[in-house]
Amino acid sequence: MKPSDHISPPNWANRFLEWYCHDDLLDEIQGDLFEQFHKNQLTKGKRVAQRKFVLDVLRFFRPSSFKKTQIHMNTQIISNYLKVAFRVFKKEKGYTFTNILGLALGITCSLFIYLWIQDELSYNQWPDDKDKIHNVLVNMQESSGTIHTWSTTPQPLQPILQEKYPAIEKATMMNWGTNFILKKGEEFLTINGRYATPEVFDVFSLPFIQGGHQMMFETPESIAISASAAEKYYGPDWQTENLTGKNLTDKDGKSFIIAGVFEDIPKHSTVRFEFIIPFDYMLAKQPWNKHWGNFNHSMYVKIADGYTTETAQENIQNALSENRPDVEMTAPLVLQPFNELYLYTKYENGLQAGGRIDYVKILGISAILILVLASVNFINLTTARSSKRSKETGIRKVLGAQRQSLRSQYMIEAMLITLSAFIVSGIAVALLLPTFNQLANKTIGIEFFDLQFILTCLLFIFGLGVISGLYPAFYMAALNPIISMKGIIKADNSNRVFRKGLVIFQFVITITMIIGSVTIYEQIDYVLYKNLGLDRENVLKSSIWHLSEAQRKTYISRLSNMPGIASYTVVNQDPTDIGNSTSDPSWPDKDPDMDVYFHILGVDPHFNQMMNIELSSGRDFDINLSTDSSGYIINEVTASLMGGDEALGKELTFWDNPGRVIGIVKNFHIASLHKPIEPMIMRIDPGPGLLLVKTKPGEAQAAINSLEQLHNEYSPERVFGYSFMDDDYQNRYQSEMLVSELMLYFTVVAIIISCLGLLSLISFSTQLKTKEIGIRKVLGASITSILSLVGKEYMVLIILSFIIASPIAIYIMNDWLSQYAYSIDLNIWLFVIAAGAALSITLLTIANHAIRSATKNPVDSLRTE
Amino acid sequence: MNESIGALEETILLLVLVMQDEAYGVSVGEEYQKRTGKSISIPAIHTVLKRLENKGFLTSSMGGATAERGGRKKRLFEITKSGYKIIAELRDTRNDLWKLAPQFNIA
Repeated sequence: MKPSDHISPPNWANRFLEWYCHDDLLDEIQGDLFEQFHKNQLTKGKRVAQRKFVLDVLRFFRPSSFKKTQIHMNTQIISNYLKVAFRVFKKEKGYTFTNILGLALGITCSLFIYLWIQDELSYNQWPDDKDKIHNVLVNMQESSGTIHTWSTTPQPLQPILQEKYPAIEKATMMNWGTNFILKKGEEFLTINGRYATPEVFDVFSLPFIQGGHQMMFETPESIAISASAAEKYYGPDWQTENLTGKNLTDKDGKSFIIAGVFEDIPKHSTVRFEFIIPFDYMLAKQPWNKHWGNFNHSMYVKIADGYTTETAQENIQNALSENRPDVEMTAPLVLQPFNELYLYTKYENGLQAGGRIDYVKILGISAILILVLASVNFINLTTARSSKRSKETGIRKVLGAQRQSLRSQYMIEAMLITLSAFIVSGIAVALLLPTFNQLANKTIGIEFFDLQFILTCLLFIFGLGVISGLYPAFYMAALNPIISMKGIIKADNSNRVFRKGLVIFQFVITITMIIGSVTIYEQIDYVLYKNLGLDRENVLKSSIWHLSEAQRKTYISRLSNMPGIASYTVVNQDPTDIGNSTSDPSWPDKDPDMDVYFHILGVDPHFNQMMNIELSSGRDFDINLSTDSSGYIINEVTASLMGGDEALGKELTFWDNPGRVIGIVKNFHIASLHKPIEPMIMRIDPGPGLLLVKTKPGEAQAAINSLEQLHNEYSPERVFGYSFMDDDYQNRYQSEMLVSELMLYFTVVAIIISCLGLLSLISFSTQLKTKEIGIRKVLGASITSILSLVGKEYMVLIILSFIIASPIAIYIMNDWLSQYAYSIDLNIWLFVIAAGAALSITLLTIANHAIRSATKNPVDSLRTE
Repeated sequence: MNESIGALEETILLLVLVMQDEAYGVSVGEEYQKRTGKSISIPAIHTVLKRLENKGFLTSSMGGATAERGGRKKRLFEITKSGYKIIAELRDTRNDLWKLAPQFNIA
């Protein structure tokens, strides 16, 4: 009804009122509102009147004025729905079980992923001003155009950034970590921390419990310790006394004044330390670090108010070229937000290129896909079963149930199933969490009674219930009562097409996941067991950097007679993970424009022999030739830069050490397989400190014992540390291995879910075909022909899904493999395996059911009614 | 009937009593504003009137439509005996108490 001409309240509000308001009340309410509107219009103007009208309409929107027909959900009806639902669940145990199991599997997987992702995202979120803290990176450009992004900066930059650039409020420089060994009575206590400029406490807004960092600016021999370090040394009651001003003495008797005790840094942080000693202390001992050309340490800055990451970066990006006095260099600075340091670690050509976030995304997408699979299962099963419920639906309709109420009935059933699935997976998650933590190397705990967690779960249950229940609810409610009471909706073609579409959809996802996880698995396998060009097996690593050079000599000389040790060599770093590089090397005919970074590996003369590195030309270092201290051995990549085979014998100079190339070795991998092999030069290192020991086969433990014995003789105050080179190598691919493993589990879950769906669809369709099968048998059909009758339809669907899934998988996996410089090829076998797996699993699923119905006595099946 | 009523309900009940035949949503609202100086929304009045009717202090009937109302009928309210009784009782209690109250010199 329209209000008369001279009244014009907002039409939509009026219509809304008419829509929700009970007819009996409409006259009085609408009348009063119109009258009020009219009066307001005369006294207060049209706009005020309209606003008041709308407000009043909204105020009347309350249960007491609602239409009675809208309240279908009265308790009686709901209790009837619940009763019927439980009866159905009880009657169709198999169906209910598959539904709940499928959903529960999916939910469990996604819950785990959710927990994992939440844990990953919680890294570096602890500082108060986390948005302002940034890591300073440098983009170094080679003459070839390649840009290397370094996370190290020269020391003189730190005061300059802080003083000259308005965008920087505070800057701090810190080294990569160092140990501090305290003597506590007769025992030694090691704490791990850093040398850093005292501004570190300003940048990270780290609060002090006792003292402060003022003293650290003036006294290089001071130290700030964390609360847990204080507890370790002074016991749990440390807070009762003031530690400020006390002395801490290290194992060599060097003492430091305690400047303060700061709060512990949370575990989820890329920067952690238990103590800070002023950077100046380290600079005094290692003055070369003051040089502009030494990019050795990391720098963190806090940007000033009013600056964003971008504007601050604009402000400081040329800081190196503007301030470096000795050489001209254009290496722009880049600011990376602190809270991205954990997940976004990779830079390609100077630009952010993902990192761990890629895995977060891969797993997140898998979690969603698995949930989709599970809810597709539900849709599929419920619609397939619709004919079983069609009589009930028909009766309800005949008795006057409206579509809306039928829909809510089916929605309630969907919600019930989702809820039970959720409870099952809640239990499963609680039980499996320790295993998961072990697998993912995390310590995740769940607060089941956390309000936010409960709300998220409820929202999740509701959402999943709606997604899974919506189609079946609408479909069932729309059935024609007469037809549905006859129970002949199996002839409904659109429904069958829809179900087939869903099966294809499910199997496209499943097959893509199969191909994907097999590819990832193979690639990781390839990476882990690839022949790197050196023999890394049975090699023990142990650091002797802490010994003096004289001590190292005697230490090493005693190794050869010890049990379990076959051979040994001393290097300056792990040859499979060479960090440093320099553009310094030059040779007589070097192209002056060539600006390439060379990795320098410091070795002793035993290195190549022990590591089984093949020489391609020239000779190895000779222990008896003292001139070899100026001899260099290069890899093939360096050789090609120096003119191929002619490189042999060429003069080569770097770090002011003129020398000659005496040999060329075959390339071996000096960094992760993500990167191509880069130029490398080996030289005899005057005092290397990383011991590599080859154990005799099967005598690893004896070798470890020998090393430990020696260690305890030389430096009993230190904890003996060792690792296997192979383990270290594999650990560098830990996140890849984790994802590979998780993907494998997910794929298995996806397969199970899809098969559950398929199984129940097939059992249903054989049920429908009971009579047909019976008649065919009576007419003499063989079991095989009956099997193919049932199975054919589904095999076609699987093959179709495979055809759709292959290009998708090829695209995604090629993209993934492209992050490796060395990778497997996507070969046809992968796809054959995936297809074979999918088909045979389907066959197995089908066979059991089909054989049962095919071997049934036709007399029984024809008598079904 | 042993229902208690609140201050707003009491005022509205009194207004209905005073207004006699012309008590419906809008008019009660206007009268309320005129007498107390406080404004009240139509939905609030409807709530109170309905509550009073449920408690048996008011009865209602549908009444005449006007052009301002776009032809919609009014729900006209009348006070019942028990309604009259409860406000009369309230008034008496109050008067008794007032008689006992000491003189209070504001100045």
